[in-house]
Amino acid sequence: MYEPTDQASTATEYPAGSQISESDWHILAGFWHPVAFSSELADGPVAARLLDVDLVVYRTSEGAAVARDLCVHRGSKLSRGWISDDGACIVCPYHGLHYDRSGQCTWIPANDPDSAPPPKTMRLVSYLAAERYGIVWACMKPEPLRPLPEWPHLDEFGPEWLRIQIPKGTWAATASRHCENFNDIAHISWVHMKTFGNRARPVVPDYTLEQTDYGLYMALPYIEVERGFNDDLGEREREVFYRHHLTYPFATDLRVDYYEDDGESFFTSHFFDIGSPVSARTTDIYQVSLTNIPGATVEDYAEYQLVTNSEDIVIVESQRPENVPLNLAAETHIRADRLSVRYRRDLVEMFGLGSPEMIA
Amino acid sequence: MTAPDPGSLLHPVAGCADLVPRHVVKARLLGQDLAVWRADDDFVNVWADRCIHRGVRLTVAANDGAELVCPYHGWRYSNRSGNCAYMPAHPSDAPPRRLRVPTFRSEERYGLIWSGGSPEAEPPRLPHLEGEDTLVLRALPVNAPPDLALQGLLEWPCQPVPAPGDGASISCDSAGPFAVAVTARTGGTEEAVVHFVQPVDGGRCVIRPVMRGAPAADRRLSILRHHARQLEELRTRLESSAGSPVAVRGPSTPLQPLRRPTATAVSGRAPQLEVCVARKWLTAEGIAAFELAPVSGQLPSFQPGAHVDVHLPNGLVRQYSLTNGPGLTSVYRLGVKLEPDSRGGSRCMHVSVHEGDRLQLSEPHNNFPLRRDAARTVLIAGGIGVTPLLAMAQTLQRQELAYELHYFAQSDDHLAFGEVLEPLSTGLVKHLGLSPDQTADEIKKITHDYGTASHLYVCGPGPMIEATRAIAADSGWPEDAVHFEYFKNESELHDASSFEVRLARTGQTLVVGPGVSLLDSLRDAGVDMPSSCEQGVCGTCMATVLEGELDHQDVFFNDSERAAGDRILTCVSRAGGHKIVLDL
Amino acid sequence: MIRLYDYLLSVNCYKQRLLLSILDVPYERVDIDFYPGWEHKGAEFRKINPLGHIPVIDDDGYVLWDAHAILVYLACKYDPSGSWYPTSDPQRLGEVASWMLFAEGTTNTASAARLHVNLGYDFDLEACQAGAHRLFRVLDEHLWFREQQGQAWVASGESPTIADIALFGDVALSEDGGISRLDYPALRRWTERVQRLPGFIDMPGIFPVAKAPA
Ligand code: FES
Ligand code: FES
Ligand SMILES: [Fe+2]
Repeated sequence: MYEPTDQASTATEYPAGSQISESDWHILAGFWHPVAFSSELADGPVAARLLDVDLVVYRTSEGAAVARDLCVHRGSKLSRGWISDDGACIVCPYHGLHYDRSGQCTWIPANDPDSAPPPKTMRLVSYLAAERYGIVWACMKPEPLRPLPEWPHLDEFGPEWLRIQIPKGTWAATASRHCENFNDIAHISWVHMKTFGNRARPVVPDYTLEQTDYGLYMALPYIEVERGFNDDLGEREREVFYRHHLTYPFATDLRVDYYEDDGESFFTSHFFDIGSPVSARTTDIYQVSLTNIPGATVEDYAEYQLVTNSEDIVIVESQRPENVPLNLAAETHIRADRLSVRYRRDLVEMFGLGSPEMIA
Repeated sequence: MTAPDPGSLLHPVAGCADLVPRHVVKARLLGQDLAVWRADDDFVNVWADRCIHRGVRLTVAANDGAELVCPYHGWRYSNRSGNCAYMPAHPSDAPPRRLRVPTFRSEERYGLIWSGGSPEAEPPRLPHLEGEDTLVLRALPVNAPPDLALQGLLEWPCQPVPAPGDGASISCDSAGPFAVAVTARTGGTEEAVVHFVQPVDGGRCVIRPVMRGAPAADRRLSILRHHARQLEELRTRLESSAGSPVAVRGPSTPLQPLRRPTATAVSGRAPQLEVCVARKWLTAEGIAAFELAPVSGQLPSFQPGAHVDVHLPNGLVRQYSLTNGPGLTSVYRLGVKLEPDSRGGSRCMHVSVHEGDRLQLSEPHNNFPLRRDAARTVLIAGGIGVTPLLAMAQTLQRQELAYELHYFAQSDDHLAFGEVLEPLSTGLVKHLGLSPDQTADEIKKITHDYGTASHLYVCGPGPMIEATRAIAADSGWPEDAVHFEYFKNESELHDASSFEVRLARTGQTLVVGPGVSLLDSLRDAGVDMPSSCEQGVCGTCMATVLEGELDHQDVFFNDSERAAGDRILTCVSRAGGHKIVLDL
Repeated sequence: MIRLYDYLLSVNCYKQRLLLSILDVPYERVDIDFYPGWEHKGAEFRKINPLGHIPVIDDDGYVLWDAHAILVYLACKYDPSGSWYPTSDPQRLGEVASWMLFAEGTTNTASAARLHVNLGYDFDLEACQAGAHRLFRVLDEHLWFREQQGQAWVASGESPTIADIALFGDVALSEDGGISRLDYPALRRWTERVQRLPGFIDMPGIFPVAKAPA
């Protein structure tokens, strides 16, 4: 499914000055992370930053590609360039060098047209790239530690489903703090008082929590308060059922079933949320929703999601320390926090994150 | 002279006037972020600016006068102790006593709040300011290192007050390691301002000037303005020589959190607090009231429903509920009824304990936690059973949550703590002089209409508790909505077993009895076991198991870890059989 | 009835909702499809406001745009007490005008930083933050001296004015844009006073405060 780029010699690519510890960096570089929405590539290459590395994300006729944002010729930013008319190459804005999807330089315009083609060694530092779910993903190691999240219903959905893409947000918080917040149940009744939170329901029941091959699965019921922003329907309680599928390290599919008054039939929304670690304390948030609620509109959904995010962002950005303490004794955990305890343990036990000897 | 370690001193962190009611001041000292707030009882709290749950800044918490409420998950922290008092996600659990926000020293002097990590240090006393009124001038945060500011102040002979006359002689002198005094003399008059420098972190400080004397009202504002303008000029100079007007972050010395003001050991029921009987009075027919003040330090905070074990002079140990409402933090207030067939506990309290006597107490324990999320809260008190319910009623009243307190007593003369009942009048219903049958009828009326999210708390003589439970069950109250004292707590812990533990390294053998956790038993035996959640969630209290079946009651381990059976969480889990061997 | 062309996450729109709520004036929200439609930049909306920004009000056919201008209009028209925009007191009116202009500055710095962080607007974040700190220093000092004179609000006098409303949102949401208020204690007390005004409503990102003591 992915075309491996044939040069991914990134083992020494730890960016100088990164606030991410070197050991954590090499681990995180082995996962797939979003670097752009597919829709962003319509007008040509875009710049992105992942784990403190500046990237160019572009799409050729062969597919999406990701490389260091650096022309090997004179170091210009390729993200300022464009896609060649035949769609096969990215063109450097400085001297017009052309590079194909694999990063190979295919044309040096200044050379005599009769001279030999550019040498095989003249190529960009390219990374694994994949395009799925309307998102371009990159992995900075030749062998990904884990596959992409498996969300088949987002690959293909029937006409009763509406897909909503939320504008990319940037949070001044670590990706794990964001991810824990997205999967935190107890905060809903406190933080989401403009959207779906119910102050009268602060109690967290003993919920289902399972370790899975992709990460964690959590399921529990809640009673939301439905607040129409743009209608006069006022507030009413509604029963919902949450299913969280957390794909390690930072991607979640939250499925919400909204029950009708009969308590049996329901409509469903999925909130897909992926935090992309731009740097130690900056995270780009990629969110896509699917819903089969009749009459739902992209505008309303996007606004709802943005308001929800803005309720969370101030809280999450205020958490200290900014880094998630992987030593469990450093914060306090209650039964409601079982998911986050398991998450932190797995980051350490499965992947070796937060390795103490490597922390500078 | 070598400069003293700034961590060994107290420094100003705020002006007293900054601490307006129901507000939390944001401060920073030596790289430590602080939340500073004044409770309604005027106690000034200096806390680490960090919720111990998920690290949210407490400077965005709401100060309700007695507790800070974190906005992320609603945890509440008590005035003075910083103890977590309530976790809304698990309303029927009493939070473990050791859950507390790190607290720091807080002293008031010269109109400033002083804090620091040292348990002994005092705020400086300066001859320039002693014995006089003082005026706190406008404090100025400066994006320059503290030593640069001190140097700048020494070289900046700013006229402290507007024009005391020409030819004033101005001198700037160091007044301790973090202060510069400016004195201006003209003729016979002398004005003095001391500039205290609060070291915020390596690259920043706050200059906090205090002037000697209280100027006349008409001069006050012009002095404030004059001085602020001068300091502003100094700041501009300092920041341009510090290189950047934007905040710089330099190395910083972290503060040491204060140790607990009371003994840290939380082992079992040994006495840990020494108190003195500050007041004893007869509050009702046959009921003595006591106010117990700490001999030193502060009393640990507690949650409504809590009791203490009182170690009596005659050697007996008796448990008494605390009646304190949220505002009362300086003493524990108890009520003791003289039981005619007393085996010596209540008699001893009534007859042998006098004002001024010393007593030993345990820390407060809570087996009767109050939920604060009920749609309806019904409190039913029989006689002296009112004591824990008084604490509950006052808490609910303060949070403006609806409640009913039904107080059954023989007569008006038997109603205890009238001065506390008075302000509760809205929720209070008195039932006087009823027979047991009439009482049962009354309780039927009170409980006849159960609605979801209603909770009933009953405390009184055994037969009354039994009757209430039966009546409530008949009227459809689910078991988990009826709470009564002396019932362990609602979480489904099975701690009825008793078993033996051998500690492989020390060779000790201990017996863990019913109702006692393995963790507490280990601590009693002198093993220093860490813990945090005490709910089997966080894994802090883990021990390695060498032998024996386990009865895991935690939610920390997954199935395979559970099956491996080589580790145990001592706060909740127990032996599956008669004996386990731990690697301790 | 007043129609307010509105977007929930816009601070400038929030200023209008706040004043309308405090004055207890009924109005109808017209929610602008900010995203993904950029409706306020579209041809249709430009017929209402050629500048293509919100908020805009339509008061029975009278159309007005610019956040601070709308505050002036609403206060003049709907505040019978005349205290929110004190036209009868030249000195206070002058102060209000001056601080409203100041609020343009906080909008262009503090609120711009927030737009950059939350909605990806292309502003120079560092410049916005540094500019906001410069203005906050001035405002904090001003409010501190107000307190020293026993006064609580931005303009002199006993009661708040639309200058408080114009400044409040930019200040209260500043931490969204990475602008800490550590150095501005008087500013932090003033935001709490605004939050305790009768009729106060908040928007996402503003933390609730405890009730004032009885
Ligand atoms: S972070 Fe404060 S209550 Fe959870
Ligand atoms: S103290 Fe947290 S599991 Fe025991
Ligand atoms: Fe959230």
